[in-house]
Amino acid sequence: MTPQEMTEIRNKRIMAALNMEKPDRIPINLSGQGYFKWIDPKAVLADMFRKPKYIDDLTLQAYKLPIIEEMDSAPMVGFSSEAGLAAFAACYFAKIKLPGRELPEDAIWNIDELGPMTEEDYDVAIDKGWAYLTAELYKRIGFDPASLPPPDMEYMGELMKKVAELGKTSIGMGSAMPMPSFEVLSGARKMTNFFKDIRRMPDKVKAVLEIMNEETIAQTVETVKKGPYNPYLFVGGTRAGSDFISAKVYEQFYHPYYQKLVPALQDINVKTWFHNDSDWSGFLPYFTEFPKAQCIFDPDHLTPMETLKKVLGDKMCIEGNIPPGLLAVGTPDDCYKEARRLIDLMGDTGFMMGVGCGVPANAKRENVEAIILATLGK
Amino acid sequence: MSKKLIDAMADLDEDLVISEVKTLVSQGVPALDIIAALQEGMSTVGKRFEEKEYFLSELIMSAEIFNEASQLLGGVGGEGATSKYGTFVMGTIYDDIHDIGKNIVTTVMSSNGFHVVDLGVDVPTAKYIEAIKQYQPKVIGISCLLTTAFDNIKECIQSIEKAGLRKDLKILIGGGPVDEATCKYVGADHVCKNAQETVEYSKKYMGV
Repeated sequence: MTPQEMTEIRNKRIMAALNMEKPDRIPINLSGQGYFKWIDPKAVLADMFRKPKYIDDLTLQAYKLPIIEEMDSAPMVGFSSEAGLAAFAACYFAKIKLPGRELPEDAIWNIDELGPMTEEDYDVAIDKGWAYLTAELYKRIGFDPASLPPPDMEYMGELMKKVAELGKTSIGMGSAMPMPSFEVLSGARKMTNFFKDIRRMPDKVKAVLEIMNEETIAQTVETVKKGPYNPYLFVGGTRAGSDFISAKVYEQFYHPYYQKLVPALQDINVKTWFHNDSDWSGFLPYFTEFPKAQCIFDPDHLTPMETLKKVLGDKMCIEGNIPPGLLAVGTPDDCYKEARRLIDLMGDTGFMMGVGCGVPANAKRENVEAIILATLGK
Repeated sequence: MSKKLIDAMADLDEDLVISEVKTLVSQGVPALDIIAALQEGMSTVGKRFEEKEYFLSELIMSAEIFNEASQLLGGVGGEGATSKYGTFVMGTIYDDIHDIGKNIVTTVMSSNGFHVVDLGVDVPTAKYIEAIKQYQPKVIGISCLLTTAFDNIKECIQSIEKAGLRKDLKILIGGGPVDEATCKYVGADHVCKNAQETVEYSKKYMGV
């Protein structure tokens, strides 16, 4: 079978899961950042930024290892740059701390929140728009998007050819990452200030969130229309959850964004992939209002799969939910049993095997293999 | 005890808490009495959290308001500070700069009558050891949000043991990816899922 044919099979498999149809087998989505260590155990996380091409090459080799080659997801390559992470951190108006620079050689990168927005800036956003304020906030944190080095298109072209040769799925995260306005504003103000704002001036916060929702969604739709088509967009959520904020706050300040985003993406034939950290159990009923098979829910391990299955099991595809810590410190037997437990619970329709939040950089190879084997029924 | 201050703390009314603390100070009310009122307000916050009237976001806010108010009084966690239940030392393990969970736990412990020594984030093993020698806590907490820092916790706990400081000392761990398997791996005594569990475990261990 050619790599192209393999890619077609994997794409069909993933689309079946996303569409809540029965795939030929459960898709395996286990891409991780630290697989390069399986090829060169001396390589450290700082090498991702010091010699990214070398790390990309090791990662590609890791994807060809026996058993590992069975996973459907594409390797995480071509993104290890300080500029890329700086741009990601800037979504929250934060700074990135890198291994080998601010952090030890083999530490994972961290985001350091700066909170440059003042209380008075709410009025600026209301008068002049969120994009205007964003440019101002970037200046305050010393981030200049225009100064980011352009991607090395020649290298990226070569890399994509190598990825294509692996025969993995070509379905990815899409050309935009529309972070919920609640998350972005919370980063701009710093979390504690933001929660105080919600109590002290709820109407003003709501007004700014509405402006942000409109601007973000319009810009997202425009970007998607211009860029290469992908069947879903990835939307991160980290500062909410039903143990984190009340249902009242969620209803008024957070959920309206999803209520606008999901139909806007549906209009352009794109699904919404919710990557939601912390425990969302209490808020899952809100997600039942979205059309069947229009969304994907991808929890970290803190939202139990039993609850997800019960509340959303017949509404959307669910991806997950092996505890990430288990891959780092558990045994292959632990991982195999947990994977089998999830399969027995979720069945083979509307489910993708994955790890809560993502495969950690220090995941053991034998643990990842155990999950793959369990999913393949071996 | 100022009911106004207790209620303002419980209701997370930051402006009122600060102005009331300043008023009480100007009236010559002893700092310990003002702290006691703030702690009583925090107890109500804890109760409302248990009853699901408040959530983690409210705990985060309460932590900041409590700390801001107590700073006006010179702080509650300084050297030589007294407490009902003894000292609790806590920090986020080295290579990890997450602070929200740690701040919630330290404030809730402080407001529940523990003398808290907050070591901050990215805390090296030597700093934990130094604090254990200096403050002789019966319980310490290590916070961690990154699986890549699990080995650091393990190393830290092993070093505490090698230094002969583990006897009678309970080591608690907590944080998003931390679970029972992690606890076993790093050799800690207990995983705390939230701040309240830290309070309950510590009180029980100290025979309160």
